[in-house]
Amino acid sequence: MKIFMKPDDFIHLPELGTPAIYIQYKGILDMQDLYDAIADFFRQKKFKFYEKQHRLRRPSSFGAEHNYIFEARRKVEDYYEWIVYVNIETFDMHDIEVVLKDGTKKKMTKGRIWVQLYGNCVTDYEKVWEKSAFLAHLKGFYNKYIVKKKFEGVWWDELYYKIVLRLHALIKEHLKMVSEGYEHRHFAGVH
Amino acid sequence: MGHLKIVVDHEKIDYSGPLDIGDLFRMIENFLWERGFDKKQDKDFEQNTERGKFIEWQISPWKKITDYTRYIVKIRVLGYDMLKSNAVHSGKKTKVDNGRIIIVIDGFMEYDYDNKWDDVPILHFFRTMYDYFIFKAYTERFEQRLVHDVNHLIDHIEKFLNLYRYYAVISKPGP
Repeated sequence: MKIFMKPDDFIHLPELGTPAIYIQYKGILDMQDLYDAIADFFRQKKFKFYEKQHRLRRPSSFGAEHNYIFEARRKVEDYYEWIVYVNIETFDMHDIEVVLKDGTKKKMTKGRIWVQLYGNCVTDYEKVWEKSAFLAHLKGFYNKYIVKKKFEGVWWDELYYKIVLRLHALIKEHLKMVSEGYEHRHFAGVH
Repeated sequence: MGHLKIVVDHEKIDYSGPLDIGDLFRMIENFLWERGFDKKQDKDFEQNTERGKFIEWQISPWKKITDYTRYIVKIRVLGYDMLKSNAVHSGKKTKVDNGRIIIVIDGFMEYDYDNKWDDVPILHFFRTMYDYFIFKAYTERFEQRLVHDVNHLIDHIEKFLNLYRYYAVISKPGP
């Protein structure tokens, strides 16, 4: 038994994260199109989209390396919010000119891309229920006994299937990967 | 992490020839979705090489069967030298992928997935006793059902790839 307890010791399940999903692709891609698609996706889903970092390096003659760190937040209800993290790294990127099917020329990028996606469902994001030990105990009880099923079965599920996996499918679609497609797109609802 | 037990170890399918790899992935996902598995995508890699596409696709969907036990099925698909080629399907010209794929399937049972019984050694001991002796009949039944699900999936894949099959899923009609 601890004498000095921290809020983390008795707040049950303050957040629930999704598994990280990885994409790797080597070939020709339209980086601008991909960037627009990701930003537009979050805008449509009513997220606040933050570009935390954009780093450009040219370590060798093979091409440039970009690193993007995106974070998107949506306060779904007063009690919980969704946070989605997108990390993109590109390697050996160089511009090439591509002739499309209709004969027009377009500038695209050739290189390697690595994408990491994961989300987090956070309860009590304003920390209202952590101001005193009593409130923190109440929050722990609420999360553990009252709202647990909803948290694991609805809030987390919607974040995972409607946001993270759908974004994953969208990125694959824009990279024109053979595994594109999303089997769970009709999972629930129409939004 | 709870106690992870390998029940199906490395079932392998090696195939060379024409196929629609997108349809294969959709079929696998759909199969597991219909059986109540949650999706977990581990890898989705694609590299365009001089000889064709190299693909690595791995999922490990899970299904909680009780509040103590869950199934995990790990499916890994490797595609080598995948190229598009012309084919005639139902009198229509279409493009299909052509290359070599290797599919590896593992089935796991995870006991105590919430890690409630591994804080102290005595709890760990009780858990082991419970799994192997007290609850043995249920444990074996769960394992048998996992093996059945994996065999059913393999049967579906073999059917999709038009291979010779040995496994027939026979369900007993209800009373």
